[in-house]
Amino acid sequence: MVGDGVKIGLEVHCQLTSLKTKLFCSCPTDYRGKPPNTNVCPVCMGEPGTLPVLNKEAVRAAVMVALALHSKISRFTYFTRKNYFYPDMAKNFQISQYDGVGGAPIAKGGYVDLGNGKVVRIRRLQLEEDPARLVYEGTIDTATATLVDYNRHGVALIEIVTEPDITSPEDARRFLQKLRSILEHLGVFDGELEGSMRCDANISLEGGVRVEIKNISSYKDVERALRFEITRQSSLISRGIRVARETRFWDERRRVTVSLRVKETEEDYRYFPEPDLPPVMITDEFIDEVKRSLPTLPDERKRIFVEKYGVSEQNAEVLVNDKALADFFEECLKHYGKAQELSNLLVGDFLAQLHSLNLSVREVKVRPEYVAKLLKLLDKKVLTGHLAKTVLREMLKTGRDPEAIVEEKGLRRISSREMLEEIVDRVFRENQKAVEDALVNEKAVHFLVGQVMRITRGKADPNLTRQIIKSKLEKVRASREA
Amino acid sequence: MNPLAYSAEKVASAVRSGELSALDYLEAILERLRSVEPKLNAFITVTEELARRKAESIDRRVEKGLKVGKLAGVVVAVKDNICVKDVETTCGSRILKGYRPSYNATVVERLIAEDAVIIGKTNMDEFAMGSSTEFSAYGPTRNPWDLERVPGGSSGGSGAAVASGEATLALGSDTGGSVRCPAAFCGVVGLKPTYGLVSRYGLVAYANSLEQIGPMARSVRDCALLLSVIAGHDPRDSTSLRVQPVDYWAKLVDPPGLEGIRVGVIREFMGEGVQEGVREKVWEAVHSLESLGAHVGEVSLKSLDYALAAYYVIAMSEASSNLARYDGLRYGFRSSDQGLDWNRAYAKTRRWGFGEEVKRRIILGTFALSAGYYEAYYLKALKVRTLIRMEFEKAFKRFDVLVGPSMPMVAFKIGEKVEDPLELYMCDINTVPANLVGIPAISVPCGLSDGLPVGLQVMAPPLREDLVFKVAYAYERTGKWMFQLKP
Amino acid sequence: MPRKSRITLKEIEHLAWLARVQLTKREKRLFKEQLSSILEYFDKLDEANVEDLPPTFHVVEHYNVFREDEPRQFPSDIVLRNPPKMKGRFIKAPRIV
Repeated sequence: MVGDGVKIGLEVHCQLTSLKTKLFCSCPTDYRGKPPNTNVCPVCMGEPGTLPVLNKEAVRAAVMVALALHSKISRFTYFTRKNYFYPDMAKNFQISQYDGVGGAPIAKGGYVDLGNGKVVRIRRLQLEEDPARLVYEGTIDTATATLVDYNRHGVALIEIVTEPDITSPEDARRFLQKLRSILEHLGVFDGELEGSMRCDANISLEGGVRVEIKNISSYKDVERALRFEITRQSSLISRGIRVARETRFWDERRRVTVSLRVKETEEDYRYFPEPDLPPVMITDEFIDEVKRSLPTLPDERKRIFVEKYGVSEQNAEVLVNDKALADFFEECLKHYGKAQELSNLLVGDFLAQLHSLNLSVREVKVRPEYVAKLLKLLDKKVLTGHLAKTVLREMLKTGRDPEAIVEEKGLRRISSREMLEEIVDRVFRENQKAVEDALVNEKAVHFLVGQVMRITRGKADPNLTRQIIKSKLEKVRASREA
Repeated sequence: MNPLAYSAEKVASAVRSGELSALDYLEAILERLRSVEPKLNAFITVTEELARRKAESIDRRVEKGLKVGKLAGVVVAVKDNICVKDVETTCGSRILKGYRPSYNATVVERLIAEDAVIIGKTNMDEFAMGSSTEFSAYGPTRNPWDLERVPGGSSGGSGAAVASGEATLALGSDTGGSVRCPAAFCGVVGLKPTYGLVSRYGLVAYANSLEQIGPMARSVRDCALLLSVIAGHDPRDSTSLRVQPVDYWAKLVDPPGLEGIRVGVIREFMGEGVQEGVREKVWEAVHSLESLGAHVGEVSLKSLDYALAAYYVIAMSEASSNLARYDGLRYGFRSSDQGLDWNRAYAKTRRWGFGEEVKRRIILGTFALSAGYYEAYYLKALKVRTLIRMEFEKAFKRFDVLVGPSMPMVAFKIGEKVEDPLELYMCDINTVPANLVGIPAISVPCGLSDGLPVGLQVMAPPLREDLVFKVAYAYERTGKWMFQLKP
Repeated sequence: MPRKSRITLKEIEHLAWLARVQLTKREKRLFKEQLSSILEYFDKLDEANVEDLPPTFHVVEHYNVFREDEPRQFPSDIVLRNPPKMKGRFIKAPRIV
């Protein structure tokens, strides 16, 4: 089912969060946490007589993104008015960029390598202003009024439109993660900021009609929404019902897409070039200067991890897909030389535990030296793999030194033969039936090891335990034969 | 001499020297205003208190020997589509009733910095869409020369205010002739500057690629003085030209001669659509120029045939987008929208807030930009614009200035053309070309026809306001026309 | 696309919708006539030989007008004097659906 002629295209809107002011006015962009309608001025409120003036840094940031995505940068780029009425647009038109009607977006073409053998082509990149935030008392369809907050209105967005090259919901998520990593490596975007990225998806099955899904705001949601759509559409198709070509709205609470039958007629945006903004000419010199100042990007960093540090390709891909994680990795590497083992921990248990604790890498209070210590404790066999997980979790929750945690909770690996023999004896006494099983069935030994682990709360050295159990079983066998 | 007869130049120098009190001068103007305003309706808002406070502060500074500006004590009326902070700015529309801008237009900031005394906001055709000031939601303005006639538009209030002595100077805006038309009809001087010379920041947009704020005054010298205060680069307007400020007024030479100046009369401007009396006066003016040493010739600009159509398509298209913001959410009038969804609520607010002419232009502009018609209308009009520009460029190789009547007729009666939109549009036929091409154009009075003023239009290449002023000033100095305070 | 000389009532209604301007019955009838004759006048544009000419989007030929990325806080309370309907610090708009 999935993968059968599934074509997905994405339109991703990312705020250029590194900019201090909005795209066309000098309002500060640090609106998060501020009361509504605080970072506003006559320009972004669309007061009569006001005019837009382009933020210089937005052009630079857009050129950086274009270079990172291997796009072709337009020599002349123009702004266009997209005319439509909606309470989230102060002027009831959005200043954007359009390919056509005397317009030219800032860049066209390019691609993103997903790292799993798939490449997604980029159609175009454009700059545009962010709409205002709408708040409903209740849900969009039951609210009696709409509350508008223009704090965000006018913030610079870069819109990245892909070709419909994505063939699965997982790849869509992968694309967004990769894109986020690229933008974070460039330093123009911070994905942690709430609402900094929004995405619309277009999906068609088996060459059928295209359905647009709006209002997706997280990587997980893009996968969920697309999965839901595939299920919904497949179900319709299998029952012989035609899939309607429409725009649907992703409801993140109920986790379904809803038909937006709000628009009665096809919207006509009546694009025309923005008369208040002269064209922008991007010279080769400027592009070269930006190119020279570009930081290391994910694909290049992955290469470095693999070739210089000897990390496996698979681990390297996961690391560079999250800039904070890759940065953390490099920090830890300063204190612990075995890169592959380190990467295994980070992409494995570390990420898994973070996820279950609902933390992001950036929120982690663990010091890189402590991660190194943890790995050394494992190397010295002071900890078992199982124990290490427990210590790691505690480290992530509290940020404390692993050695202190081990001491306090008495989590040392039990390697004393004497102690273990005593415990094995006890297990044998309490699990006579299992012992009988183990005498004939190799696999049942595992159960006995498990019991020892249970009693010792994971501290028993598993290899030694297994050895002791086997030798005791031998003794039992021997005594029976005698 | 009665201070009401003082030129702006004289007022400023008299106030600066302490000879004339700014407050006294203002009171004289206010008295005049009180007596004629009920007949004229030139103002939507009179800012008496603000003006008094400003005048008083100027007088105090003069007393202390502190420096005061170039327009010290000069009373200026500002068209109601130019934002003055905290003062109701309606653009002649109901939809902006009660709107008080949070900021001053750049030109207003410059006026204030030079110590002008702003007396109020003048009446206009709603959102500058009109040529007679009959489309205002606040009643028509009457022509000081004949109260049964229109003062021209859309800056009719500004024209009437200057002509009647309710202000020394005024600011208007010119998108398709809206400064030159009332200047011609009211017997005053009005200039549309080169596009980009005067900041549009604070000018409520009607058609962004065509409009400019323009100075209106009783004399060419005063007009040049006002221009030198408001002109110059503004970083808040991205279409503003990066030019050094020029003191146009200081550059006016006395006695002015026109030796070596090549004057081209545009044949298409003198055709049969133009009233006989108007043509006569303009030819007389042209002969005066000749007697001052100018070489006069004729030029034919065939593309002018399409100018009016191109102008209206472009202006209406831009307007339909510029006026979309008036939905009652953030400022202005909002109709009661009990139970209505936003689409219907907006449609209702705009239905009650906009007048008929504005609705007409919004509908046509929406049409010209709509899918399927964009190429045939908007794009086509922009190409015609290129054609007209090219023809003007060629003409300016042969001539320094191009002249003709500002308006094809003298002021018509109130109500005469209001029923036929197209007939009203036709009034702009001589003025729109300068907006399409972006060149400076002035209207200077050159006589009376049937007892009503006729305006001579002088156009020059971009940024050649100096040529426009030179020719206009030279004509003015022949004395063939003397300013007359009306009514 | 062809030139239009007659505009229909339906088209006027569609345009009124696109522009969010409700028209009275009288206005619709009046406009149908007036706009048709205005559009007929616009036919003049066809007579101009301009196919090969570039459109003039900007009368002023300059590029790269920028602003530095330096924040300036505008006193929001002044701006918030104007909205006709507010709820707390939010601007109140009609319902969406």
